[in-house]
Amino acid sequence: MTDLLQRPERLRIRPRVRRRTARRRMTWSELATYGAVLVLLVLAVVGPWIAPHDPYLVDQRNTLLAPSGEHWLGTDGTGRDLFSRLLAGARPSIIGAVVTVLAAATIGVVVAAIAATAGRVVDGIVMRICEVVLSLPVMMTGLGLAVALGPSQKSAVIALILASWPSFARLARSEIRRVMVSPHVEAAQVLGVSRWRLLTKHVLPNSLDTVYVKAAMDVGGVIVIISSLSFIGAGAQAPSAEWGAMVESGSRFLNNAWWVTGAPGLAILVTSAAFSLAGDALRARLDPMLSSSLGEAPR
Amino acid sequence: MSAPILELRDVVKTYGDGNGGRVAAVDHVSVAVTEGQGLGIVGESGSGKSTTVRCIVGLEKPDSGTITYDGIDLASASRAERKRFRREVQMVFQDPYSSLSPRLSVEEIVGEGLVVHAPRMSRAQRRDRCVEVLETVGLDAGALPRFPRSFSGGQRQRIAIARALAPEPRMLICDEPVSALDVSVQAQVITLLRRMHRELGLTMLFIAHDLAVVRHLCDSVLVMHEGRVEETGPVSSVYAQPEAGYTRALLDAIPIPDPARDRARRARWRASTIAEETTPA
Amino acid sequence: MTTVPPVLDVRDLTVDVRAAHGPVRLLHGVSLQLRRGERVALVGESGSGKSVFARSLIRLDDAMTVGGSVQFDGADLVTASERRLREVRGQGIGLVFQDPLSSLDPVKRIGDQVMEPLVIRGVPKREARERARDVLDRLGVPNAARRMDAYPHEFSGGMRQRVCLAMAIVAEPAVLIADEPTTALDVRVQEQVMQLIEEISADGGPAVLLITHDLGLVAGFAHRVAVMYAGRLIEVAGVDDLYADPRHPYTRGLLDSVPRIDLHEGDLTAIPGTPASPFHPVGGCPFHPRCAAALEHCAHEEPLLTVLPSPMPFHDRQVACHRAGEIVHGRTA
Repeated sequence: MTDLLQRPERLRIRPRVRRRTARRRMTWSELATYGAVLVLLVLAVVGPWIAPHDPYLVDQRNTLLAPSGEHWLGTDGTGRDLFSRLLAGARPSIIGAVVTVLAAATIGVVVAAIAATAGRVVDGIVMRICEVVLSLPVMMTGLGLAVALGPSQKSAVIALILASWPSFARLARSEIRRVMVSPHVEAAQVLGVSRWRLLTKHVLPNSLDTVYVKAAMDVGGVIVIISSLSFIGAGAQAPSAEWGAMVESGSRFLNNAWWVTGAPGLAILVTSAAFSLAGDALRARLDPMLSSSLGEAPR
Repeated sequence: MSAPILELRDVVKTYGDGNGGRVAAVDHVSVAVTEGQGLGIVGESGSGKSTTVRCIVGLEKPDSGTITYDGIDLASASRAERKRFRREVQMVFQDPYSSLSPRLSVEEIVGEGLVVHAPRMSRAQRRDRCVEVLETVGLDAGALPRFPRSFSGGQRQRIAIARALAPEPRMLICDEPVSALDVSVQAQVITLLRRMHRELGLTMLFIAHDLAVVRHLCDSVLVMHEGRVEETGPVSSVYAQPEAGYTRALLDAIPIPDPARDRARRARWRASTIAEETTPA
Repeated sequence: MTTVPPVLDVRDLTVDVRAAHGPVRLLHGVSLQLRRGERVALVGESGSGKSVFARSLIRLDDAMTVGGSVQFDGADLVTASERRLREVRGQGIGLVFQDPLSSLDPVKRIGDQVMEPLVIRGVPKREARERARDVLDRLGVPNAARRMDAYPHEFSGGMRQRVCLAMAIVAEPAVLIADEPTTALDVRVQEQVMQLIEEISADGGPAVLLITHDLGLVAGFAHRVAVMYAGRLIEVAGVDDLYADPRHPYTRGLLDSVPRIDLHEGDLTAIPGTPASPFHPVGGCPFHPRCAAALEHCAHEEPLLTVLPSPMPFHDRQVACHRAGEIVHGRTA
């Protein structure tokens, strides 16, 4: 409540967003989560090149080896180096999820922008479509579509994009509609700003914060879903090093070589958690209730 | 008297009341404003004063009635006419916090009207014009790269006024521009608006809930109550001898910064409410 | 008057809050006394610390470090236990805030909310309900008995503020603090609420501290006015003296800023510059950057609140200005 002091006015209508102008210093935990995400993204890109072994090299003499100096995480049922496979699998797993979320968010925002500005009929139709898609569990839609498209990593990604854009559309639409009636947008309307400029310069920059947060948090979940699709055979296929597929192929050895399943499982867990935490940190930063109204405001 | 620059005739704007009925926010309002006039529109919340100006600037569409600006019928205006209207009629909003985009710099905010209405202006010319209007409102070029959040409420309202002045409007509509400000800062903004009115010859519509503020800015006043025009006339006569009982009540409710007079006013107010036995709330 | 012991005696109150760059001082030793039956207005711009003053009296914010002493009902509230404070908050000192809607619980019936200060003090429900109804009745809530079952959203802004007032006074506190109680209201409703507060304080009611940014609001209401700037009281005087002859240039500036309905001539005169911020303190007199009467001296030495002798008894006033003695503003009403 101490921020009562610094608003020189009495109507305390707080602008909800101040990202471009916020200059709060990052905390260590924020740095840690963003850093983890960054490291994971870098690994996803360079993983295959820094892998100590060929992730696809079958070595029947050295199957199901326990972790050792030579094979840091041991080997799988066909003697492939697990650590190298994890690195190689980072790309399909993480990049796949990132691509899925970026595409879904982009489609969602474009659809939302059209729905929010085109008038009632279009808006109604678009939102009904969204509701129908949203009423189905993402996993089910993904599974159905992936099977229909033929099981592969690409189908899994496409299926998930199709299943998840409506949630972005709904979120973006409600934000856009909120911002559309805010006084600064009305002020731009009174100035005679064209519709396109109004949308791109005045409305969207102020409505996308929550979309960014949702996107960051969703990556974690999507990694799990893509892996799950692979696990049940609807996504990436053997011998791909996609983590979900690895969990599946290792599950047969769970009793005598748990690390074959455990290592990719843990990779999924850690990556998913890292993205979710990063999303949470982003939300905390953008959320006006949590960030202070002035850089130097007491908390 | 010259022909009015802005004329509202029988404007009606209704809203659904949530039970299938309609409530008239603006109920057959007719107003004529001549060029260079300063008209105060006064009323309490729900009086329809804000809806009326929102109809004028096109943020709301009236159900019926006509609004004419300088020969342009706003309902049937051509693209070019509409464009001219958009340039010549500018507005300042109530809340200086939410009426400036937090993502745009002062230069972008103030220059926006120029981007729209003077697209051939170069960046440098636009910047010069921004500095010019900022100086008019008491700020300087140093404000250009900064964002609204680094300004106080009074300064923000100056930025909002600069934004409105940039395209060289003929009419300035102010929707309670000082009611969110401290009294000490209110006076700065009122003084500024008054200077703009006089020096630039702007026609002004000034919305207020308080007759005292209007007295310092306007030459005529229109009192609205429940969507209707209760009384209209020159400030001097309406304040001295209000015809409508409602106007009288509004005047009587305004505190006077003079202890003896204010005590007398309060006693008068008490006597009149006891006499009426009806209390608005 | 000075012989009657004050109900609330604030001495040298300081308030600090933690900020990113270390502690920030919001109140710099404020002393103010409230006597029984007295209505005092505390006037200042946003950021002056006037709301902090009210909140720190009963330590509403944990983030504040409070110093000095607040004598109330035989105890020092600055050092009092949390339990003692809770007692004082409902029963000893009533509070009303600017926004009636956010101070009411939207999902609780009006009657229950007004009764609450009594119920938590062990007053039997039936009696509490009766007293709540009486108070609402007295504050002009029509059909009080029936409307006690209504929810806040069913009330207009003015009615909500009456409910808040009822909550504040139902336990018959000795002091009522109203922080900008009419800011969100229309002029006629504002007048009603101001009249109600005056009625409440009459005949043995609580002493009232009314906090406002508008010097115009309180001329006919207050007995005394204290003007606050940058966390300091800069002028305290009886209401007639203050308006007739404001001694601090800031008080004068505030008075000249009020739009007046009763004067034909004369423009508004604004105080230049922006209100002081506790985060950017200036040396010397905190008002000197905005003061037309400032001398070089004013930038270096802070003037203390000192008593200006008055020829009339009990009319002593306090001003914190190096030039208070020499500047005669001579205001004509």
